[in-house]
Amino acid sequence: MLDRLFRFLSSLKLTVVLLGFAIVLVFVGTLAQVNEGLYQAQTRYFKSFLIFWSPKGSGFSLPVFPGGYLIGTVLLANLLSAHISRFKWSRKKIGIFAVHAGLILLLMGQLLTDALSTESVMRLAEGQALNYSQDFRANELAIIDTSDPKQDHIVAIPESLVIKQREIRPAEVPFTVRVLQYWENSALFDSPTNGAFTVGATKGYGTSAYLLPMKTTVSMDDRNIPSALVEIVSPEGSVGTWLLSAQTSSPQGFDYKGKPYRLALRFTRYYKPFSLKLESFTHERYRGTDIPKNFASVVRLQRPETGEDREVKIFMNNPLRYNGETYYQAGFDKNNDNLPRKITHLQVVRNPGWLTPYFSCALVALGLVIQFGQHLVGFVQKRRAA
Amino acid sequence: MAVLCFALLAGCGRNDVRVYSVPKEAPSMETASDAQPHLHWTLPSGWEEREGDQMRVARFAARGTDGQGAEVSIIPLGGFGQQGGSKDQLLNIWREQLKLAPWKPDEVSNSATPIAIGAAQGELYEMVSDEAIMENRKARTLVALLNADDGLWIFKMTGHTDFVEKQKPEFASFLKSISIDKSAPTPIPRMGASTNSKRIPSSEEADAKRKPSWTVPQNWKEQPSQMALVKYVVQDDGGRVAEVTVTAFAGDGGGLLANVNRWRRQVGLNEFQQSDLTANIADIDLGGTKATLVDMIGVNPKDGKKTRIIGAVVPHEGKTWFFKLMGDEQVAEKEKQTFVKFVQTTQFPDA
Repeated sequence: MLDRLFRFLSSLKLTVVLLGFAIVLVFVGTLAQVNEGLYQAQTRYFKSFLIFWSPKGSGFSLPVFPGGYLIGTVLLANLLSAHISRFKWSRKKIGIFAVHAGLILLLMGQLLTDALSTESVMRLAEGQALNYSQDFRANELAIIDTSDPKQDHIVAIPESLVIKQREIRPAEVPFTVRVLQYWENSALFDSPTNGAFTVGATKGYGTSAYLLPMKTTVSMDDRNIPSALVEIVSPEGSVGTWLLSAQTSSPQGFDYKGKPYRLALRFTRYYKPFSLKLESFTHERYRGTDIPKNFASVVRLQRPETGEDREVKIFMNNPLRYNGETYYQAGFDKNNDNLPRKITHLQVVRNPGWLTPYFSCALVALGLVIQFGQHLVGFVQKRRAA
Repeated sequence: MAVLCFALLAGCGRNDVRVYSVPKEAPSMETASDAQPHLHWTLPSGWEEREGDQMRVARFAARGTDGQGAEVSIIPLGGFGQQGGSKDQLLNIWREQLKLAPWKPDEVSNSATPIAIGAAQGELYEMVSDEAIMENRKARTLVALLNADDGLWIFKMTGHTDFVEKQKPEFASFLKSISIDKSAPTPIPRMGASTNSKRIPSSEEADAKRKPSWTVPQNWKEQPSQMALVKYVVQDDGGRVAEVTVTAFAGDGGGLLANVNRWRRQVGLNEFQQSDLTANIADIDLGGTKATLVDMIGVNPKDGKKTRIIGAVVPHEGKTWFFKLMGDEQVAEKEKQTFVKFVQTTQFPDA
């Protein structure tokens, strides 16, 4: 049985079928980006084990095609088992081995990147210092215990849990968070407008705000602004109901058993052990046009625990690599010309596997040089002998 | 394989509840250094304080019986006037919100009554809507303006007309109780940012990304505007000008008829009935979205010149977008096709 499975996994036919699936997947997934947007198409076609399809009007969905994760994993298993089954050490094949090892490293590196990498953005106004970046898409419900005069203790519940609209009872807080309603995309108004309604919050700005549910966006240039109606329930009963929204950063919260808590629905934050302060932002344009020629941010990196305090210039193609993260000069506020303090956007990429493509490409190149070199040497020797 | 399993498991951990401690956030520059001037006041009974935002340094709500209420806000405009804003324009924003015809400069000065704002003397303006625009009731706005060294201070109360009328003494005593701490730095909100924002304080990420894009004709020159989302000016060789503005309102923005009539009033025309409207509109297509086009020629009461308005009303995703070309009749005629094309190039954020 195991033998058969191994033979199946190491067969060349499987490789061909998998590559065929990969071609179809890339084709369909690329076309799907037109309607579904880059992010959603990537999640549905490439970052999934199976692709599901729901017949119109039905409540169920059927798996119809293998997703990127499944194809990639089986391809990796195929490559590894083929090597194990056919591995015979010989100097002649050293080039081929290096090429395959490079491919295996590339596949594993991509899976690592996908699983471990995060991308976020740090938006800084001149003079402003921040010690966190914010996710491009993900949101979180944060319960912040502000009783400590020096530190805030934060319990961050990811959107995926909040969206299920259920009771969440984090061990770190003495109450339950009951998510009564969740709107993936919304707009809040402070006066009634057509279609906007009050949500029945008993505390905070939600008592007078009007909510307009919006269609969720799939555009890369846009993001959803979620809102949630949340009830805090203590063992003694309900503490209150709040409307939380990523649209506003107005703080709201309550006291429970002498401790002040704040509630927020916000873009997921990634805190750092250091802070970046934007000293200045410069933006040069080609004369007479609005086409950016160069834009650069001078930031001050301050890390209290090590006493590090230095100035770094981040500009196009010259990112800051620090603490396992890369800070790219990604953009700026389009109203900068009218702002007294310019605003920069730094893209923050944490990718522990960022070196693997370099290694794998080097390995593949080395393998090819050895392989063709051997052929060349053999060919030249044969000609000489003749 | 072990590495792979680890990687996938680690990836799954993103959906777990995270618990961590971070140093307390220092108040951001925007709120600490130059955003919040020190204001003091005595809160009238029945008023509740609300969270301020970038534009409004203080907000209050007053609630009456029978679902009536009013909102009060304090807006400092540092550097007011230096960037092209005028008091008339400002007041006419609120008049437009109440669906009232704009005031002419002499009407503005005739409508001002003196009022005490702290130790200083300010001007009070009052306006009542003709239509029931606020939950089937008429709306009333009281605006007190104070010219100070650091710019203009706006104190505004808007709500149901009867309620605001009753609240006048409270508003006056509130104004009298105001004191502005001069040692505090100048407030930041500047002309150029919208002052008629109806939204609750928003993270700029949210607002900035919801604007549509369009292809702007080369001969149109963009100009800052505090009323519109964007404003372009087009001028012909004879120096005659027309303006193109784009504004957006939630819902239907009061409806097509009301908005067309607002435009008709701006060029001194009689209001349309629904039947007149149906006969005088055309449809244009925006790649699947239907827009309504209106065209009218009248006389601008401000300067007595023949003026044409070509407007396109585009309902989209719970909002209504108003594109308006207004100005010299001949320039408008020349630019009409360009304007229609401009409207048709609109790409909404979720398209």
